[in-house]
Amino acid sequence: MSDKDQFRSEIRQWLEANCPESMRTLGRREDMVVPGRNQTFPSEDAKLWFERMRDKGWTCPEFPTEYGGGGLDAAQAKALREEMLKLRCRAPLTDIGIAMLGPALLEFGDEAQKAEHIPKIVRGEIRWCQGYSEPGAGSDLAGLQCRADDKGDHYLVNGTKIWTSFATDADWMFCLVRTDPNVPKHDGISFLLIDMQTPGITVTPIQLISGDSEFCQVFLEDVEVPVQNLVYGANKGWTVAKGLLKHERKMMAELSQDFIGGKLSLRQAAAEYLGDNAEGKLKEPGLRAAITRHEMNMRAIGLTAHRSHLEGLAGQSDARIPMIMKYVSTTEFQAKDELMAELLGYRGLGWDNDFFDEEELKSSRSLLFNKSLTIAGGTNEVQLNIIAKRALNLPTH
Amino acid sequence: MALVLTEDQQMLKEAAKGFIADTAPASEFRKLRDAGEGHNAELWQQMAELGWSAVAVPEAYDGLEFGITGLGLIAIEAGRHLVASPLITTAAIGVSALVLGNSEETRQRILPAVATGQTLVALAIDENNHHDPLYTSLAAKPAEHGGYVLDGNKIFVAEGNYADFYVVVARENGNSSDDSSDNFVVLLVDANAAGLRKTAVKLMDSRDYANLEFSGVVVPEADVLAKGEAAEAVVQNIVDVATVMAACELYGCAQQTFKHTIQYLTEREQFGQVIGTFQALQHRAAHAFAQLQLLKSVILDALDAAENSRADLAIAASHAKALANDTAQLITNEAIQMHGGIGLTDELDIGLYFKRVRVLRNTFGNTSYHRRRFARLSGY
Repeated sequence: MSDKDQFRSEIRQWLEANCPESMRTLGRREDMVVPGRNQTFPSEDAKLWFERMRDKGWTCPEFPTEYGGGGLDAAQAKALREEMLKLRCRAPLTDIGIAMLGPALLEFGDEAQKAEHIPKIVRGEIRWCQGYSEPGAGSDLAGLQCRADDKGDHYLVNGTKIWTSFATDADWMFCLVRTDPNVPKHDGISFLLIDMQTPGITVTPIQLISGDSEFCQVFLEDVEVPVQNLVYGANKGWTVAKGLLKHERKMMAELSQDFIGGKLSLRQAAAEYLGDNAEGKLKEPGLRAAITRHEMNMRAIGLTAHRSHLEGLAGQSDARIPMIMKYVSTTEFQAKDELMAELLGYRGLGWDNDFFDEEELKSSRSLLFNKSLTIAGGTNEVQLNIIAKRALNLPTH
Repeated sequence: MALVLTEDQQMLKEAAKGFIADTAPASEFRKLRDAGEGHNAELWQQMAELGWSAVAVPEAYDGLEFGITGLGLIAIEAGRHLVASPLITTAAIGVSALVLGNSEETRQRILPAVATGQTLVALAIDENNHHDPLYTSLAAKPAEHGGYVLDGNKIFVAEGNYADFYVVVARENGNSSDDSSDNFVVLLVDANAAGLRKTAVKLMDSRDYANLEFSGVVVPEADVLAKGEAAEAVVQNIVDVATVMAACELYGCAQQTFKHTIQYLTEREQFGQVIGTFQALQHRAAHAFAQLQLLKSVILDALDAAENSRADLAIAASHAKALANDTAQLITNEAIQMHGGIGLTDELDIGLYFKRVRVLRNTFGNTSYHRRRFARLSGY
């Protein structure tokens, strides 16, 4: 057995022995374990599973062991993901600290910042939120106006942030602020880490068409942030932001269907809600063609993600692939929601009545909530701009 | 899954790229077309000297036994430069049919000459305007002392006017019921056999096609490649390899057409600026690029499935062809639209790609055929 196979078989044995049975089923959104100062768990098994994975550093498999991470290389981490998928193990912890801030801090943070924040991310002790967009700075993110004035030992922050997911529950926020208003817009931005308990911060949830209100607006009034919380130096925040955005887009492209959608597959839904014809095929030829097109696109996206990973391992990374992944994935996720709605008919359009079962309600909420996928983290139009400019080298005005 | 090329495959690809760009660019195909020819024997001999005719031939028959992926990589480069050659018909499909068939004597007689590029083989399968092997009704009557006698027609046989042999898919006793697949026979027929008549047909891509008429053509037992229960799997396998190769050529066509188009976007000026600065065009180009990247992954996966006879070859092949059809259609359409009027002139190569893509889209199954097949194989 090669070292690789040996490692994989050890992982599998450990998972078999340590992942509770109830954690090997598809979870609902409310079953997700999230971090926080006052962390609570949806169940005892969820807590046990989280603690076991945390203690191995496998909440963040690729983070260095010196900060409590798993210390795995890319191939080992992939083996772990695949073995977890085979056993249908749930994610022990879900957080943007793991997927976005952690990798950025490891790249751009100083030693004190890494030592302070990374172990807490691994151990699920702090929940992070992202202070990027502003009412006047959406796709034009670099046009942000939230000011941070240098007061020697601290920055004085004034302004507002919007579309900040879960700001009501977050302990800390990583935030883009304007530290120099007199230079080209990209050159006057800094990246700050802000404790949400600092005086002067208020948070208001925003009600969405899905009925959810996880997106919030954050108001900052004379908020004092110690200079030690500045990442990568003053006015160099755009570099950090770009690095972090890559992780965000990767995360959004990889969003699991279990999380964003329901348990029901299109095939099952078609059989259940429309019925098959005598030959066991979907009854509706038009829908059959549309579903097949979607399934083909999903298979192509999966193969492309896999190809990109293998190219990385072979030292042949194609930097253009990550640019297309968010665009093609989120578009297909939405296509699935629309197809599901068509298959379920009125039952896929329910709101909050006992008349509908949980999967049906999830389907209708997902149709509405997932409209955010092609907007958040860079709209599809921004993604296409990036491809045109950086992958195709098309000229700008 | 081999979604990343091995070092050897990479080297073959680079060699093919260099040779075709230097020796057989699209301008060579244009000359061939203008001369009214469908085949350049000299070019094929050069390709054979590079070993391309022997890539998929087993070593036991003087081949390189390099695998189908290698041929696919060459087919992509050939597609990029509109190379008209028997690469797909002979080196991929013909060789696969002979290797899969169970006639050792025929293999020993034919394959070494195929490997050197001297002998050319074409596939005669279609009888209908739309590809579907199940439509086969060409009658193969069992002969008294073994072998078969053929009576009927095959149409649109690619490279059919100059092939030395045809791999012919027929039905024992000619049962033509559409849903039956249990009486296929696969035969190797000499192009000079008595009772065989060929007529040249011209399609918009200016390649070589022939219609074949069989009147009592005798095929000896030794040239029966497959019959009985085994035959259907052999037919499917040959067709799957053919389908993946067509997808490869389409991918090459789409790649090159896209390259020409992006180039044009950076040169053509209107309203005082190059048109590539317009966001409406940038977004369409970016979308097409994303589709090309997805197609690349699916093509590499299908080649791997063919090379290793994976159990899901049929799904992978249908996926590759459907996506290649869609993507090549999108990109050739966008190419003409973004070029504007000049894109409609014969002077530019865009039109040559457009026409080749239209024929390839129909070859070995159009998009709806492969989507339907993918759906059926996936339990829809």
